This record gives sequence, C-alpha cells and structure tokens, in this order.
Amino acid sequence: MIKIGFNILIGGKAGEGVDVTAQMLAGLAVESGWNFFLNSELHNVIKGYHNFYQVNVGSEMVLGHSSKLDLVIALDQETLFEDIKRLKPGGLVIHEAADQLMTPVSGIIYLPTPLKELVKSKGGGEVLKNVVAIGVAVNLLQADLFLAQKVVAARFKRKGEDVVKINLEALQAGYEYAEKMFFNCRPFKLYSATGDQKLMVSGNTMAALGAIKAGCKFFSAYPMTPSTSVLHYLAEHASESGMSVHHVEDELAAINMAIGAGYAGARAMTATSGGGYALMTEAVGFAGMAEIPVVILEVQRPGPSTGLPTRTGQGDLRQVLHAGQGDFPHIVLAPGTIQEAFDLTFEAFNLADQYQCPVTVLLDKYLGESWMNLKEPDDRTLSIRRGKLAADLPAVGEYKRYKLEADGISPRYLPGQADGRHIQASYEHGEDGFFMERPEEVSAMNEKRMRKIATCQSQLPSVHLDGSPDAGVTLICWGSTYGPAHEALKILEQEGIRANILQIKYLNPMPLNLQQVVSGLKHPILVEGNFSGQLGGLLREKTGLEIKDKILDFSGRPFAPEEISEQVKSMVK
Amino acid sequence: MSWLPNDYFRDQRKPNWCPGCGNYATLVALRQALCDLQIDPASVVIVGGIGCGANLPYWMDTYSLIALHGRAIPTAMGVKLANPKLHVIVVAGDGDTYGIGLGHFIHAIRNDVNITLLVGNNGVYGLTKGQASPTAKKGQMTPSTPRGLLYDPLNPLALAITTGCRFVARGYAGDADQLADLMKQAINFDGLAYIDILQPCVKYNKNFGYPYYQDRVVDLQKTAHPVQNRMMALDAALRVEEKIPTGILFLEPK
Ligand SMILES: Cc1ncc(C[n+]2csc(CCOP(=O)(O)OP(=O)(O)O)c2C)c(N)n1
Ligand SMILES: [Mg+2]
Repeated sequence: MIKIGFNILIGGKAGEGVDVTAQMLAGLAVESGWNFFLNSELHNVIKGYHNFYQVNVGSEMVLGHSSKLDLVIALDQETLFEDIKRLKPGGLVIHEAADQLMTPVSGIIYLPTPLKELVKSKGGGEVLKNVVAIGVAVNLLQADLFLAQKVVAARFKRKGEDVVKINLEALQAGYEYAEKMFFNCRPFKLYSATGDQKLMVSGNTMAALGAIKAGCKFFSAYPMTPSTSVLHYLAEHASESGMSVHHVEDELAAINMAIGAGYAGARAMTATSGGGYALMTEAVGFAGMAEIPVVILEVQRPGPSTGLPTRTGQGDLRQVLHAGQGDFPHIVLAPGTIQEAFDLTFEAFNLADQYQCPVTVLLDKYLGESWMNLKEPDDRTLSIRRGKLAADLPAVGEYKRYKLEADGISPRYLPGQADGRHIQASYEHGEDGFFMERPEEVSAMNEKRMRKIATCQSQLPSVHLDGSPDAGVTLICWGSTYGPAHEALKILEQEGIRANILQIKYLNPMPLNLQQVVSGLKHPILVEGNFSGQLGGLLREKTGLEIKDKILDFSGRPFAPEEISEQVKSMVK
Repeated sequence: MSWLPNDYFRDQRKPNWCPGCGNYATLVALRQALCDLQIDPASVVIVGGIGCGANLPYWMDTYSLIALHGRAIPTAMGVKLANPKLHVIVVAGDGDTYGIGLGHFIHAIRNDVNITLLVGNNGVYGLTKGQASPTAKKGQMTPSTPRGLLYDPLNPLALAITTGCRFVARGYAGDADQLADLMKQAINFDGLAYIDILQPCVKYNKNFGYPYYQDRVVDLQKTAHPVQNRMMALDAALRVEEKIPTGILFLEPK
C-alpha cells in the first residue's frame, strides 16, 4: 500500500476553539480509518495570544509532527502572516474572507471564505466560525460528510440538542461553500480505510491509563503544567478505577503522601513538572532510604526555574538522575512514544514494587500533551509483579525488615499484617530498621541497597538499534525525541542516507548490553532537547562513548523531523 | 488475646532522651492508651518526623515509620488513606509541625483525615541543640537568637480551632494520666484529633521546665468549660500566660 499523508495546521487566538477544531479533524481522520499525530504550540495565557495545533494525518501510523504543511486553517491574522510560510508549494489556506492579506506568499493557494457571514446566515454566533472552516476542510479533503457530522455531533452532545444542531448547520454551510467555490482544488483524498486504532489519547492520558491498569490506588499531586492533565484524568475516572485521588497543598505533601500510601501497600503515584520535582527530591531519597515503592511522573517543560510552562524540552534528565542527597537506588525510565508512556508507566509500578524504591518516569510536554490514535491496551499481555511480600513467603527466623539479602531485596511486611511489626526509617539503620552508625554495618547497608540496582540491571531488556543494524549513521536519543527521529529516518532514506536509532528507555540503571551496542556504532549523532547534551554526558560516563556530532535544541520547541534530517545530512558529508 | 502495656514497647532498647525529658511521659501515656483500648499493635502505625520527640516510634513495638523532618503528617495521611483499617498516629515536634511543616498541619485539619496528631511542644529545636521553635516566647535567648527572639510565638491551638479542627486538646508531660486519657479519646475520635503536649526540654529550655508549668496548668475538664463551644475554646486557647488550660479545649463530634 502506498503511504499517504497530509499535515494540517489550525491557528488562532487562545480561546477561539483552535484545540476543538484540531481534535475534531483528528477525530475525522480516525473515523475514516486513518491515523494522526496532533501537537500544539501554546502561549502560557488563557485568552488572546496566537496558538496553533498541527494534525499530521497518515494512512500509516505517524509518530511526530512535520514542519511542512499541506493545509492551513487561519482563524486569526497571525496565522495568515506567519504560519502559512511553512506551506509546501501548492498548499492551501482557508481564511476569513474579510481578513487582510499581507504581501501574498507565492505558490500557495488562498481560499477566502466568509466564515463569520456564513455562521450569521445560519443564526449562529461568531464562535462557530471554526466549525464552518472544518466544513470547508472536510470538502477539500474529500472526506465523508456523514462521518464529519458524527464527530461534530459527538463533540457537542453534552451541550444539548440545540448546540449540536447549530454546529451541524455551520459544518454544512462550510462544506457547501467549498463545494461551490473551491471545486477545482482538491489535492487530498481522505478515503475510507480500515485502520482500527480508535483510541484517541495523549501521552499523559496513556501514562494515567498505565497507572490505572497497573492497579495504582493512590494518586496525590499539585497542578503543574504540563503534567496537570494526568491529575485531571485520574480525578475524573477515580470512581471507575477505585483510585484515591488528591489535589494537595504542595509537592512536598504530594510525594510524601504517595510514599505513605506505598508504605501501607497501595500502589501509589504522584505527577509534576521540573519545579515540583525539585521540591520532591528530599522525599525521593526518603523512599530510597526507607525502601518504599513510589512512582513519580515528571513531565518536563523547558527550564530553568519557572521556564516556559507550555513548551517542551528535555533539560531535567540530570535533575532526575541526581535527585536527592547521597547514593540510593532510583530507577529512571523515559518513554519515547505515546504507547510507551503507557507501557513504561505500567512497568514502573512493577519495578517500584520489585526493588522497593522510587521510580521516576520522564515525559515532556511534547510527548505528554500530543495526541495520537492507538489500540485499546490489551489486558492479557499485562502482568503485575508485586515483589517480595513477606506474608507470601515462608518465614525464616526472626523477621528483619532490611535483611542483607544477596540480591539486595528484603521481603517486606505491610502494616496491619500480624507477624511483621518493624521499623522503617529515613535515618540510616541496621537490618532491624533501628538507627545504627557502626561503620561496617553502614557500609553493608549501603551496599545492600545499591545491589538492588545491579539486580534490576541484570533483568532489564536489552537495547537494540531501531532500523537497519548496519546503517552508517545512528541517531542517539531518549524520550520524545524518538518520534521526530523516527520520522527523520524516512526522509533520510529517501535521500539515500541509511540511519538507525539508539533510543535509551532505561536511563538508570542502563541495560547491560549498552556498552557493546555503542562500541559498534560507526557514526553516532546525539539528538537531544537541551543545551548541554545531558544524555551524551551520561553515555560518556557509563560507556566511554564520546559523541562528536550533536543536534541540540533548547528553543522550547520539539524537533521537527526535517530539522533533524537536514542537520544529519550536513554532518554526514 | 489481651494486650499488656509491654506488648507495645520495644523494650530491648532504652529511649535515648535526656533524663527528665518530657517525651518519656508521651511514650508511657501512648503505651497506656493503646493498652487500655486493647488495640492490636500490628494495626498501629506510628509515624514520626525528625526531632527528639519524633524518635518515639523507635521505642514502640508497632509498625513504626520515621519520615522526613516536617513531613510526618502527609506521610501519615497517605498511610491512613491507603488502609483506613490502620490506627495512624503522628508524633512530631513543634519545629516539625509548626515550623517546617506548618502548611501540612493546616491542610490536614481541613482534610479531617482520621489520624491522631501528637505534637511535642517544648519551645525549642531539641535535636539541633536548642534554637527557638515557633512557640518560643518573645525575648527568649537561644543559640539562634542570642539577643532575644524578636517576635511573638505562634498559637497553634487557636490556629487549629479557627482552621476547623474538631478535636483540639492540650496535654502536659507532668500529668501522664491525663495525657493517656486524652490520647484514648483522640484515638477513638472519628476525624483528625490533635493534642499539643507541653513538654519541658530539661536541657535547652530551662526557664520553662516543670516548675514553670506545674503551677500554671489547669485541667479544663475539672472546670465548667463547655467543650463544644468554639468561641469558648478559642478563648481558652488564647489564655497562655497566667493559667494554661489543659485537657480538651474543643470537641465537635460528627
Ligand atoms: C529538611 C531538614 N531541615 C533541617 C533538619 C535538621 N533538624 C533536625 S530536627 C530539627 C528540629 C527539631 O525540632 P522539633 O521538631 O521541635 O523537635 P524536638 O527535637 O524539639 O523534639 C531540625 C531543624 C532536618 N533534619 N531536615
Ligand atoms: Mg521542639
């Protein structure tokens, strides 16, 4: 089958329904059996500033956005001045007929539409102009109008019949206007296909679903963009999932409550962004020291300090890896796709229970707040591992909470269980949990804790190169950068450059075979969303690999595949 | 099975508090209260913060968790919310609760989670060698306030009452029987029950030792104090100089 795709941008002011427009077009793609990847660029305000959403639609699965556009829906002037510059030659722009054009961009096709007038003629308010624009787009895309009506009706169902009716009329008006006026420009065909990935989800939603499926029963958090949608999702679904969800007074409470719940035996999680994580770090060490399972989602925004709340970046790797004073076991995972946000969050709970330690899952705004369509998670493939629970194991002698086990993992009793009364503490302790300062025993207890990391490492899945194993170039990345890098491979291939990807999902500990994989690389290129090349430094520390060529972006924006491929080309020559 | 006071006590080790420390009374009273109520020690979680008094869980043969300085309250809330069958008791100092962790104190009261909150109020940071705590008196000379503390103390009981706490009491380390009785009521209370415990620090706060309190404490339950009257409770909480009211200041059943 030939791969077909097109990339739509919807631009407008915050509060103009730009997000709803994008969601509906994405919904139309899914209803038609296609796939999409939706990302947004927003200002950190509630109303007024220019925002845009991009919907990259494809007959095959799409893992990232693209900087080259096929169709623009301009709901404000700025879209018409700025964003249309990224249209490909022959690209189309739907815009308000009354809006003034600057010097027209040559090679693109303007489709002036009296959006406001058309809504007025149907008796609707100006807010509906985006739905008229959708009607125009549905026509240009040669999509099934019936499916579009279904999507629009579903979207407004909650607001009552009248609202649905007026929206459907607005859709129809746009559709008919395009039918009459733009019949000679229809380069796309969103035909009915058989794709069955019908679940529309963001990375944050998938992380939340991963937690629900993992049996997480306790969640406490303090709102912080771009992690907040996890709190919203879990709060909304709390009664079905049976999760105790708490919006608490600050991040200190959030993590310490989750640790308390984890101690009591519930699977527990908190979520935040970089600033909140900074406040949590003392408690990350507490969980490490007292050996209490807890999962932390860190959805990065660009820093430092308050940084750019609504933008994306990967600058928190080092903060997370080094969170907390002293050495203690701390497992750090980084999903690269929206599907992996589910998989690795689910897995994080298993690892936290097995190794009785904090596990941080690193996402970022681009991964957490972008949307795509996936299959419903298949419960049959998921297995829950609760680790060494003393009540399920044969008793051997006197119970010691911090018994010096060879694999570092001491069986734990949960409070309430008859035979297991014990001490757990943030102070250094002996095997019985009592405070203890004898040098040999302090060393032994440190070694015991850190053995858990070695045990964990020996059980991690191996890393492998994604793409042809003998390619001349390897893009090294972690987290959300995987998506654009993956799309860049396709572009590079068309240009005759064979590249593959080394994606590191387990950042601490790192898989045992990593050393061997990196030693065979011909031309490694680091692709990372921060200033200092944090993963690059880490790889050098762990494997000795010195990466010369680096593609770093710290502009607060995600990599576009085209940017990566361009830079790779210049490095390969 | 019936439980004896020693069943709650990890007696192979002796507490490391100074001789005469007010914390001994808290320890003995807590043991007595749990025994009187015949609560299975395996169903008890005692969460300590960090400080001299907050070490108390080490000497109780229950489930004992020493959390972070200032964070005993949220940690305990997580325990209780995850397993409501447990009896969850927080033991923390005045630095822990009214200083670094004050936000949690207020929000836990708003949440009204069913835990027992025992705060050792000795006016100093004992474990870090005697600096002024948020309840230290104005003018008090300590290593961190060598020319005298410049401002007035926090009034934690008044704060608790005005924040909506439904069980507000004051105990005194010189009266372990009263303290045990207050603890029993607090543990049985359905909601957050808070006891501030006046507790002389014999090492770092010698001006406010047993002789100071002995003549001033007045057991409200031996007076006509109406415990369900919030304004009277506030009035009692604000009386801190000549006579210091102890016992239950305010109680509002569900
Ligand atoms: C985050 C943090 N800051 C400071 C300390 C040092 N510290 C330990 S105990 C303490 C004060 C204890 O005072 P209080 O809570 O009144 O308990 P007391 O010793 O008087 O019983 C301080 C400041 C710490 N352990 N953690
Ligand atoms: Mg104190």
